[in-house]
Amino acid sequence: MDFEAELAKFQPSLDIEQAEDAIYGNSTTDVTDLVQSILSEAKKKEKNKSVEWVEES
Amino acid sequence: MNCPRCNAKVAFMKDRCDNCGQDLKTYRKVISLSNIYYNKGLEQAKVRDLSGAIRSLKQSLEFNKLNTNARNLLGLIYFEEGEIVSALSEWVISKNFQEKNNDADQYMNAIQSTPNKLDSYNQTIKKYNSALYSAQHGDGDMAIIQLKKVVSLNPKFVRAHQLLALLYMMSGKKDQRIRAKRLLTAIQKVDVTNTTTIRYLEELSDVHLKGEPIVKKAEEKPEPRKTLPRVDVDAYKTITPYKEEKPSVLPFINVIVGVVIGIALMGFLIIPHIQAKKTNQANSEFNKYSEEKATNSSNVSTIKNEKKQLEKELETLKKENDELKGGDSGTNLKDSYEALALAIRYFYDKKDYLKTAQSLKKVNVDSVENASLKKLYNTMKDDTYKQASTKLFEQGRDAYNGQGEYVGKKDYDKAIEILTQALEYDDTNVDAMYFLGRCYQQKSDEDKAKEYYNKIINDYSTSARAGEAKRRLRELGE
Repeated sequence: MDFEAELAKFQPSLDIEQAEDAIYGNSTTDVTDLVQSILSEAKKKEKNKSVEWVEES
Repeated sequence: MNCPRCNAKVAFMKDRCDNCGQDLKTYRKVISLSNIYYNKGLEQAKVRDLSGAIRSLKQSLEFNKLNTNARNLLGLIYFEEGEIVSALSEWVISKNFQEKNNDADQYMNAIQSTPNKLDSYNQTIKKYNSALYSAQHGDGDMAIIQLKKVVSLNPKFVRAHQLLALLYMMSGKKDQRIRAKRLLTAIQKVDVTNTTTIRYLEELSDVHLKGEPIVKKAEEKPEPRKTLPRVDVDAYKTITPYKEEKPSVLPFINVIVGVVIGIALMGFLIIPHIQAKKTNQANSEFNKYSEEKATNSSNVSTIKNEKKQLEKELETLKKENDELKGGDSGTNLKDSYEALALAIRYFYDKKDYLKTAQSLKKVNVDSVENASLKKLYNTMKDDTYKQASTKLFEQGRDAYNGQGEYVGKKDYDKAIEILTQALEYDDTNVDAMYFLGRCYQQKSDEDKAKEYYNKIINDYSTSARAGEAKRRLRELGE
């Protein structure tokens, strides 16, 4: 075993003073958000397509 | 289930939101997936697969960040592993998403209600960070000292245990490797599937702790199915704090406890019984002794009475015997009568007054009960004693002067003897007194001589001898 490499894997633990940063830095994006954003993107594209089509007609 | 678009409450089985018309088919699948991962995480947590549970719960939250149960459980698992800040973070976020009816309140209150507790957790974390810094900068000994403190303060702090075990392993010493294995074995009970712990334990597979079964690989039979160890439903809440194994102390403590219980049993059950038995025995012996003493006392009093009676009888017999012997004079009755008979014969037949007096002297007059004999005794005594005294004086004077029977041989001692006898028959015989004085003067016993001269001068001053006595005293310097 490479002890030095193992030792390097250890990370400091967050103390109480860093709690606020940890809370704000926590990623709260979930699949639902992704789906929502994808759907809204899709809708936007569709809207753009329909606008273009209207122009063609 | 809430509509992701307008946040209105919608029945879970509905495909479209009644409020905004949002298509909920996909959303429902996502929520279902989140719940599936939460359930998986919960199951894993129940069997203390905490690492697996963390992965599952994180996945659950990736599908649905609003899954409060998953977030709260994730916080609990972090807390169990000693990651306090991570746990608090999850609970704060959970509280942010669901303000009411949230278990996170309870958890946070439990930690924050006692400020010392939170401070203690924070100190533990700071010490861990400091120890990690020391270890990564080559000060392993300092790190070990700090980490020992950390693991004693929080026996479930997984990362601290792993780091301390790694530092022990790095030293390469056998005793340090044993300590590392102990630490890892203990912390594996908190998180059974922690890959770091398992890797380290594999590295220490050649180390065997006391009481640990040594399984030879050749004899190992492949288990048909590997299952995780069974753990109680609420096991992740109540874990026994880690303590260093002390295999050599427990048996001794057991033995000591056994001995103490034995002594206590002796003290409470057996000794009182023995004492009661001894007391009974002593009581019966005392009663027996009392009876014997009472019997002896009665015997003693009987013997005393008998003794008194016998003493009385002895006294009577002695008295009688004395009487027969003649009392204090030493003359018994028979001798007295014989002496009296002899005295009568000398007095009447031979008219020898001296011998009569000498015989009468041998008579014990008290033993003579006959009155006429007593009268005769007194008559003879009156008639003979004075004459006997005079006769004896004459003999004594001859002895003194060396005349008569003692011609040419003065014998003062003999004279003293005869003159003394003369005074016994008649103590008023002044002549005898005077010659006794003369005898003692001749023998140079002046004191005795003076005694007799003074007696004559004092008691018989009118006698003819008084003047002579005075003259003799003058000779003696008086």
